[in-house]
Amino acid sequence: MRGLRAGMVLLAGLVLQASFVAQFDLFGARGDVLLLVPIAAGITAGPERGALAGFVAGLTLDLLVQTPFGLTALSYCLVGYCVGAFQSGVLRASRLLPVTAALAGAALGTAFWALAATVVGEQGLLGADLLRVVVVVAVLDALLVMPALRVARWVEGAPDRPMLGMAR
Amino acid sequence: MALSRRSSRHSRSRFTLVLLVLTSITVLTLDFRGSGAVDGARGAASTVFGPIRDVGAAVGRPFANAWNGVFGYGDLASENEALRDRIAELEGAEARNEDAARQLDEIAELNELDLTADVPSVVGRVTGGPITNFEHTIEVDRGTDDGVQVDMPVVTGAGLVGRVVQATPDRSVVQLVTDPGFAVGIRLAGSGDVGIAHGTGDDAPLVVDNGIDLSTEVAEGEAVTTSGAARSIFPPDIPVGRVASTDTSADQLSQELTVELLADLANLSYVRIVQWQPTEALPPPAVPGP
Repeated sequence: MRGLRAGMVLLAGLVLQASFVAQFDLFGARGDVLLLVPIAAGITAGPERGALAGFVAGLTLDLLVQTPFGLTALSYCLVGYCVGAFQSGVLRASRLLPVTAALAGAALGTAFWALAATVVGEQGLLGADLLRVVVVVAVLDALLVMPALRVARWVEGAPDRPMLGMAR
Repeated sequence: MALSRRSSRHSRSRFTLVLLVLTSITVLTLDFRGSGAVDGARGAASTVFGPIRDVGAAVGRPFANAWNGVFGYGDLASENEALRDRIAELEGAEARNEDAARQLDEIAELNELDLTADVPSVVGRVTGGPITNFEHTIEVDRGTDDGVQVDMPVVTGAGLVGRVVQATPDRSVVQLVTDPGFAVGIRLAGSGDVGIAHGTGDDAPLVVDNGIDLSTEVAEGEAVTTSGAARSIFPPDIPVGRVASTDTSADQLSQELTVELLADLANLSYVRIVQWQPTEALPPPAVPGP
C-alpha cells in the first residue's frame, strides 16, 4: 500500500515538474519540485528511506531528460541521505529545521549535480547562471517543504507521527 | 542495547547509500558506453509519459504564459520595439532577396546543384520545453512514423534550431543549438571561412573559437550559415545567425566570434525537421600510380 502511494506521489511530482513548474521562468531559472521527494522522505523517514526515495525519483527523472543517465539518481539519493542524517542527528529541533534542511539540501543537490556533470564531460554548467539556478531551486523547495512533508507522512501512513529529530 | 540498535541502523543506512551510489555510477557508465538499453528505456518512458505530460502542459500553459508575461513585461516591450525595426528592415530587403533567389535558381539549374530547399521536411508542433535547469531540449509531436530520425536538423523559417537526439514513433526530442554540448560547422557568408560554433547556454550567443583565420576580415552583422562539410549532419546554407562581436581566441591562433542566433528559441511553436541524410564518407584520396 505504501509503495502504491509512493508511486502515485512520484507520478504526480513528475507531472507537476514537467508540465507546470518547468514552464515558469523564475528569474531565468526553473524550480525543481521533484527534489522535494528525497528531502521530504529524508526528513520524515530517515536517511535510508531518503536515499532510496531520491534514487527512484532521480532515476525516473533521468528517463525523461537527455542529461547523463544516472546522474540525477546519484545526486538525489545523496540529498535524501544527507537531509535524513541531518534531521535525525539534531537533538533540539525547531519548526524551522525542515525549511533549513530543504534550503541546504536543494542548494547542495543542485550544485553537486552541476559539478558531477562537469566531471563526466558536460559543458557550460559552472558559469554565473549556476548560482541563480541554485538560489531559485533552494528557495522554492524551502517554501514548499511543509506541504511536501504532509504528503510524505501520508505516504508513510503515519499522519500524526512526529518527524525524526523534531521536538513536538 | 539502544546504542547498539542505533549503530546497526546507521550501518545499514550507509550500506544502502553505498549500494545506491554504486548502482548510479553503473548506469551512468552504461549510458556513456552507449548502451542501447538506456536509449530503449528512455524511448519507452517518453512514449508512456508524453501524453500525460501534454495534458498537464495544456492545463498549466495559460498560468505560465500569464506569469511570464507579467514578470517579463519589460523584456517584451523592448523586444517588440526591436522587432518593429527589424520588420521595416526586412521589408526593404525582401525585393532584393527575390531577385537573388531567382538568380540562384538559374545558377543551380545550370550547374545541376542539389539545394537544401529541395530536401523533404516535416513540420512539427513544439509540445514541451526542458524539464530541468540543465537541459536544452524541446519536444516535438513528430516521430519515426513521420520519417523523423535521430540527428536530423531542425529549423524555423529564421534559421537553425537544433538536431533530433531522440525519436519515438509519435514524438521526438530536439537538442537546441544553445546547448553547450552542441557543435555545428559554420561558414561565414563574406569570406567563406569555415569554423566550428558551439552553444553557451540559454539566451546566450553561439561562440566560434576554432577555424576562423586571424587575417580574415569579419564584419559585425555578417551572416553565418552551416558549412555542410562532408559527413556533417547539417546540410549547407542553413542560416544560423549574425556575427555580434570578434576577438582573438584564447590560443591566439584564430579569431573568436560571437554569433547571435536568427531563430527565436524562447518562443518556438512550430519547427521544421529537415529529413536530411548526411553525405556518405568521402572516397579515399587517389593514390598516384607508379
